[in-house]
Amino acid sequence: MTAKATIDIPVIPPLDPARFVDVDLYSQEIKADPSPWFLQWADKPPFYVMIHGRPNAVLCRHEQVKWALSDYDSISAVPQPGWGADYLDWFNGLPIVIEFDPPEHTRLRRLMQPAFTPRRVSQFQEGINQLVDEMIEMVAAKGEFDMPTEFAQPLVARLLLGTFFQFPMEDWPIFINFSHALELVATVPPGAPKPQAYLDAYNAVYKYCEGIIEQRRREPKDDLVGNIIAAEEGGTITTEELFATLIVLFTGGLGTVSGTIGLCMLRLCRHPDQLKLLQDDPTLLQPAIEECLRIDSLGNFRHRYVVKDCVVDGVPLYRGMIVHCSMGASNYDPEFYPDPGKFDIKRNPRDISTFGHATHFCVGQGLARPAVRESISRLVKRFPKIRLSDPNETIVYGGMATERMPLNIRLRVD
Amino acid sequence: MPKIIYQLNDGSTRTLEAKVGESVMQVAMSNSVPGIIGRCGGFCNCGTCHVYVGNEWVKQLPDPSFDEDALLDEVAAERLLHSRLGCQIKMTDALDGITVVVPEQQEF
Repeated sequence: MTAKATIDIPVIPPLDPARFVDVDLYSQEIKADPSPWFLQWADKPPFYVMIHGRPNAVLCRHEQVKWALSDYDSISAVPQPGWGADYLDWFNGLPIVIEFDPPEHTRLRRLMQPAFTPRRVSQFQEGINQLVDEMIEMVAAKGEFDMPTEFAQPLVARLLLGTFFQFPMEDWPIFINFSHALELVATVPPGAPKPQAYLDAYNAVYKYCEGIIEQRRREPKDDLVGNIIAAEEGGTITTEELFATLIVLFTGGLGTVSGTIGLCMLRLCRHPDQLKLLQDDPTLLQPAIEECLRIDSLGNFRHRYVVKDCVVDGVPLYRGMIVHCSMGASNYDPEFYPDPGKFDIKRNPRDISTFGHATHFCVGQGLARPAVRESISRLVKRFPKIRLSDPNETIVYGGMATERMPLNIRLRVD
Repeated sequence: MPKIIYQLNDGSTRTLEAKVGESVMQVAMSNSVPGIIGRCGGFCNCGTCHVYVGNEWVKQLPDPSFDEDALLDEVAAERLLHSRLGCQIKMTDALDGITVVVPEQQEF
């Protein structure tokens, strides 16, 4: 359950002041380049930060992040009202799949998983390739273009909203607006109302989903959306869970996949030697993508809730604290990735944390990976001279508080 | 320590020791066995640790769970009678010497 009958705000005992780090985890500085912090934190015990007046813990080591993302008895995914995480409530309190622990999580995930299995995704491979090629020809004609707004975002909208969910193009802005509005929640203090622009975008998506549900009840279809709606009719999920699942499904990949494509391209363009290596030897594609995903995780942190006192690497975590599991820092743990700050497309890293871990492992990664891979592969092949228009351009980062989504990257391809 | 014999696509074989309780996927990941990806870390979520278990070993394994069975229908390579997910095969002393064939493809 996500809603509690009573609000329980545990009192956190006094914490060792020496374990606090004075840092804004969501600053533009960290979003722009988290590597100095991650290199510092990835082989250290957890530490504390103050957020909205409450102490939070930050976990960075690879094994500790994996543990925290999988030990639900100690570290729960279920939001706890009053613990100070209002600014992380991106879906307006709806019971979304990622905010459940097993076995409830499994019940909801089973509805979405069939859409993203290896075999199912393979059916979209040709469509992905074609869409990427079409986008490439559009930017080729320009000579110079903005990677997020003129390539990655429209590509992912066409792929997910057009090809995957088959929404009419005139309806796409409803989902795109909501995806953009998610970051407005980042500045909401505990207990404060959400910004009106966010609520407008949320209400529009909600209303659209109501329409889909009504229409599908009149004309049932045996597909992903039809099965989710049928689950509510059959009593497997509640009406709120139905809306939560549909909204996450329709919007969850828009910013994340396009942001990841942008991060990968930016990384390669900032390392022309590695870019050339890839262009000269296309067999390096898979390890190159994996290395891009390792060194530039779109999600810096995933938050969880300490529901049982525990000690990690000598550091006490108390019930009532929010934990930030740093997937980004986990990818810099030198025990797993020697010389982690070095971008090396021949590294072929395994077991990266970018898509999360355990039962909450990103359900859409099977579709995200080919979209990222084909974008990068085809861009660097089609444009031997692809480069940053201005290597000194200031890249602004958006996305949710915990994410780093590049909003502008000017590229030249002529 | 029970051993796992991995038969790889290039015709080569890797024989690795496992701790009791470790999965066929975990041992492969820890030893960089090519062709077993295990994206989700071993939680029956991604279908990228598919293996074909040697015929003589199949009957020694518990039946696949509901989720494993559903995912096996959707793996990248063809599902055969002795297809299993490596993350769901936990090693025991009785499985010492188990043979698993790594399929050609785990994802697209």
